[in-house]
Amino acid sequence: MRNTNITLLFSGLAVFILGCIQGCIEEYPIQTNQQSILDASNTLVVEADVSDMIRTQEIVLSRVADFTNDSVVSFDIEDPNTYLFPGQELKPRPVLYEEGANVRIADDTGWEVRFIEGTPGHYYSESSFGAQLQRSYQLKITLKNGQKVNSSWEQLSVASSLTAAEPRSVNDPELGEGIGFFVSAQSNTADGAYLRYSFEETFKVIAPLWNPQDFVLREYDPCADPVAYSLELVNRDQEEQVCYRTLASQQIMLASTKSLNSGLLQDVRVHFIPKDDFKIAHRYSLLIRQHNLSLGGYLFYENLRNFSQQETVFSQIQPGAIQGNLRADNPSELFVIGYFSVSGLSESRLFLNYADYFPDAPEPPFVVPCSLRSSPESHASRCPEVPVQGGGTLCPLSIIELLDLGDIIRYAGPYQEGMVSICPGPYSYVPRVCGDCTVLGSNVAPLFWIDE
Amino acid sequence: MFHFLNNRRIISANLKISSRFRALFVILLIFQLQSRAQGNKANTVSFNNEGLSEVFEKLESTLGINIYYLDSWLDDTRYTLAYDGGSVAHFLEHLLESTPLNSYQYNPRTFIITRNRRIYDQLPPGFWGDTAFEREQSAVATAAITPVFFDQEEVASNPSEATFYIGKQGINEYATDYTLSGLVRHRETGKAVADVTVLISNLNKGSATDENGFFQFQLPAGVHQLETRFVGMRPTLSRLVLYSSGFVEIFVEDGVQQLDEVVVEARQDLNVEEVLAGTDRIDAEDSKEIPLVLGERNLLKIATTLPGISSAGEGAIGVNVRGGRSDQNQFLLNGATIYNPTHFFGLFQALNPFVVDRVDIYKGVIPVNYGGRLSAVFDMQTISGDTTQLKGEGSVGPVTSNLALEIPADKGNAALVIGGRLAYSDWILRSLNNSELRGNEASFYDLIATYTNDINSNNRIRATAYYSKDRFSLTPDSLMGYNNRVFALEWNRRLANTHNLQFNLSNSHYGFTLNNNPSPNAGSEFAFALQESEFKFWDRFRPSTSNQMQMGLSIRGYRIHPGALRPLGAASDVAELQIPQEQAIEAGLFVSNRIELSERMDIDAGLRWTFYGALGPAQGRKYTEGLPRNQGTLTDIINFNSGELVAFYNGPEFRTAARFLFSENFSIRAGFNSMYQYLHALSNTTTVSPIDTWKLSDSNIRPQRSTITSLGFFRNSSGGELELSLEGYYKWSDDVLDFKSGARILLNDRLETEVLQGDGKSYGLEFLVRKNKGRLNGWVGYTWSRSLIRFASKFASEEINNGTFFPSNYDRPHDLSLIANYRFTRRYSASLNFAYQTGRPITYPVGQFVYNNAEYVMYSDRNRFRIPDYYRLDLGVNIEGNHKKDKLAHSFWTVSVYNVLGRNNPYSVYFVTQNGEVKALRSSIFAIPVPSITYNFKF
Repeated sequence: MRNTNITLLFSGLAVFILGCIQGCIEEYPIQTNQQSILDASNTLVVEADVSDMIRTQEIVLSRVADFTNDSVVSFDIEDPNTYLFPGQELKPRPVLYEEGANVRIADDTGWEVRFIEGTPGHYYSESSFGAQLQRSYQLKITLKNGQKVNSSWEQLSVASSLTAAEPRSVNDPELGEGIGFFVSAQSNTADGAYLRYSFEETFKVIAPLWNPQDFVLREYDPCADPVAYSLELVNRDQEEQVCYRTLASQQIMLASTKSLNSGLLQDVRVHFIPKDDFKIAHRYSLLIRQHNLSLGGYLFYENLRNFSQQETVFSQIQPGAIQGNLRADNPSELFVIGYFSVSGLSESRLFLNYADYFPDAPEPPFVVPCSLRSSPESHASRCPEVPVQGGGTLCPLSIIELLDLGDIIRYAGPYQEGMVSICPGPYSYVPRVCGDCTVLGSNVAPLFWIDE
Repeated sequence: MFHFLNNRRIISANLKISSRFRALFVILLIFQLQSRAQGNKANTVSFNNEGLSEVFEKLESTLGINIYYLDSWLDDTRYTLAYDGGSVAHFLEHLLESTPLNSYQYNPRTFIITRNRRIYDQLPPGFWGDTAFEREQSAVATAAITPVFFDQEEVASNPSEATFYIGKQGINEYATDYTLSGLVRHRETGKAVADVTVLISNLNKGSATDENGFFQFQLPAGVHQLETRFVGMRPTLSRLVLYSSGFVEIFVEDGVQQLDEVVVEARQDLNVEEVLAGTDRIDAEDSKEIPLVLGERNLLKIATTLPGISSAGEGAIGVNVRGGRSDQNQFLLNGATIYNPTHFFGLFQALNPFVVDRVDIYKGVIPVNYGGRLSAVFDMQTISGDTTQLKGEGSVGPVTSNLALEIPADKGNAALVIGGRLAYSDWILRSLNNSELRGNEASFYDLIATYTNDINSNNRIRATAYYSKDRFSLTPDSLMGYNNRVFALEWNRRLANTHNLQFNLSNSHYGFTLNNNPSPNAGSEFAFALQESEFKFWDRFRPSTSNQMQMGLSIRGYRIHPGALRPLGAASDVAELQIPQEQAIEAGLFVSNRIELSERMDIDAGLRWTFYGALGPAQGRKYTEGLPRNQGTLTDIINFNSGELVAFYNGPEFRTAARFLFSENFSIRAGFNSMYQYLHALSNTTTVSPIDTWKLSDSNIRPQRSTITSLGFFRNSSGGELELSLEGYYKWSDDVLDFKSGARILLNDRLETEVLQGDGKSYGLEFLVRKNKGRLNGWVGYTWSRSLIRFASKFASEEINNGTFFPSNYDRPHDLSLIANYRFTRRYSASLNFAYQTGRPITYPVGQFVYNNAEYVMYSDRNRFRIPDYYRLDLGVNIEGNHKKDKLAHSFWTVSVYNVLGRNNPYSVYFVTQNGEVKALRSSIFAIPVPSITYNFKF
């Protein structure tokens, strides 16, 4: 008995200690100083990955935002949809795009293509082109303020192509059940291939409580007594039931065949979706891209990745400035982050239906719980100065008040007996995200989309 | 009236003796009380042509006193005189004036007659450190505690007195000084006894035996009295007839001693008298009460509480000494290098704590017999083991268990010590329900065996074998492991003419492996291995009384396998890859001479000339001079055959120190030390990691060099209660190594294209107050220091922070440590440990940017910010079992709480991109109070 107690005591202590050794991590406010702010503003970020596929190529220019730049760093999502759709960002995060630059790519024969700014910071090639073998390319940028940036001359890397890309249901010891996406690639040079993978996932979103009709509120005057308004139900004028959401990969995934005898890269998992993720509730498509990198490009991405993750609590890679292959004419005034890569690109698009992988499992739930709500159609007279909330009434806001607040609800049908509501009104409605799929995606099927 | 020993170390070492003493004290006490009660009778006694024995008998019977003597001492002289009732002591003195006898009044009614010798009831003047007093080995021994009983007298019998005839009269009779060297051995065990006080009482000379039991004197020819005194040993008195230089062997035996009053003294003035600046000693036994994390005794962690020694953090491997990188320290185990003396990221010492006797730390002037690392030497010595009976010591703690055994091999001469330690964290991790930890692995163990044999009084050998292994996985698809392996053989030979020769042969191995399993056919094992073998020979001798010399040579061979990549698992398609191995040879020729210029001034001048050759087979790569090294500037590759010299370096290392005594307890010391280092740890992490590879200097990577100048003041309070020291240093390093940002180190056969070599400077002031005596003891250390490095070049890609000086990763300007121990009773003591350090520098990002849809942070200059300051308080209580003599095992419990304040000390602050968004995170190793309880036993 005594021994058992001692064993328990010791193992308890050890668990406690080891658990702490590995787990005491918490968020921490970032500090900055004047020199850091200056360094940040003098740094240009260049995203330039030109491929061998003939298409409109894109180059993105931006600046580093220092940590005092609240509009970027402490960006608060004020989209009213967010309270209806918590935990998801719907607006793109702000970026300090570099506008008004002159961007060109030239090759060693004197050929040159100009890039035209489409949206701020995004520059698109004037004409479609693809990089060619045996040519060297250089990226030349002249900023609005006259500062010049050039890349080193780069050649197309086409050491490998995707040989297989397939989804498989897996049971990951850490992540649980789900679908893993695996790629294989064969390197066709003796030196081995340096590869980066990226993907774009597109999935069908179906608004679970969609109704063909919706409210239209006009001539609303909460000050009048009684309240003046006109509330109609009209057929929706746009597709809001079925949409398509597209998300880009955010991780840097690298692989190399350098150390493999056969040059065959096998079953590298590039993506994983848990079984209960709403993304795969209906039809799902994944476009996997394999970028062939030069060794320099590979090392650049590797550093970018290593400096933004930590292997263990105990050791941290010494971070520092990441030098790519782009340099300003006057490096002391402008530092450039980025790697101009000319990469052989191979792509593979996959489609899948949930039922094919988990035939007996219930569909994953929608991204937020959706239920029908009801509240009175109108309310007592109230002037706008009086705050909407805090009236002391137990009833939720009336329909016309909700409609007046913004585009946050959708009509879901007439009120039905038996619905749970404290102050029922004539109609039932739902948070917009439950009845309007355009909150989450585009209502136009992408060109590549194939149903079934 | 009676004090028990107030030093723990003595109590445990002499447990049996002290319990026997207790009974004796009581008897003596009663006896003394009785004699006092009787009082003094006035009487007159006259003697008429009577022999001494008759005189004594008459005195005894008429005065009621006791006189002790041996009949054989008494000659035929007849005496006629009278005792008139005055002081018996005076009368006896007068009586014996013309004889070789002395009398000693032991108590009012007891007198002891001795021949030749006088019984001193106080130690000779200057015993505690008079400058005229010789001190053997003081260059090495620093703060060793040598207890000496004050006023000790044997009761059971008179000292065995023997006469030694040393040497013979020869032609150089005109020499005024001869060298008498000797060895003190235990009569029963035959083992050498260290720290025995040896006195030439007629000349007022004294010394103490060194760690091997040796002592040495410069004496004129003639008859001398040689006495030895040591706690728990019967004092000896011998007569020496010295004709010329020679050797004498003295046997001591356990003795029952009457203790009137016991005063335990440290060799207190060594602090002041030491010549070499920047030396420390940590005694394993003395440090066992210091509370430490997880109840594990860790001498290296204790070392970091001393001024000038710090670590990068709680989970950081290695220590930084006086602003040096952690690869600039040499850890020696019985003479052989250990590359990573820690387990599990430095949290545990990789050596069974019970087999370690002490650690000597040299951080200033490094003795010439060491070499190869710039900053410091940590010389760990194991216990030599009991040669007469089996002894054991062990502990059971929350994370590991330890056991050490001392096994007599040849009674009286040889002993085997074996020790082991095992961590059971693996078992705990496996039995956890927490899925986050379940997949992890963390286990380690270490084993050590040493065999010591005192073949005879002139020869001693010691063999050591050591192995440690660590295995842990902190990410699901990788597994790391590292191991140390050491063999060492030492032979200590004493030549009769006072030369002390030492031969060392050692072999050290360090290796690590890294297993990865990212995808089914890409399983791989990476392995690194380093081997070092050394032969070292040196001789210590005294050319004259005021002169100690040391000379020798060391030859070291290195072989490094920088990396091999092998397939792991049957499905693996990974191609075998082998980075070519490197080999080199390093040699050092050294000589040093410590000269006593005057009673106050000592100089220790040393020179070590180091030679280094990188050897083939190798590829020598040449790059265009004056341009950054890269593929483009590679101009030539030269292939060297096996054994061919690829690169050669050599240079002198000056190891010079001087000490001036203002008074017997105040001194000033200065030192100048220069070093070369040819072996470098390569790390691209902010703190040292066990998978840092080592690289030998070659034609592209130059050796690191450093010079350190130091000046210090040392003062002891009168009575030696307090030791104070203030020491300042300035250190300059050349060609220290660092890396370009994001350098790849593993499997890189062109490391020179990633390595940067720059300058370092560090300076600091170290302040230490130490209290060694009393119920309360401990120390306070404070260091103010800076450690700066600079990597300048014509090319921006070869620079760090624009080529300006910036703080190193371990620059911690303020460092305060407090260690205190308070003993309530013999069985209960409490201890406290407080540490404060400036937060270490850290590279912070300057801003964030978006790349490929995710946010990243941008880093610019290194180490522009610091993590928050570090402070921590630990408390501990030691409870000893009772001291019953017949108990099977002596035991004690250590209960401690690490980080009592629960301070969340950040170990690192770092930045990650999670779901495309930047987050700053801080991690800490122990953010909460960590209690632990350890059971220790000893039999």
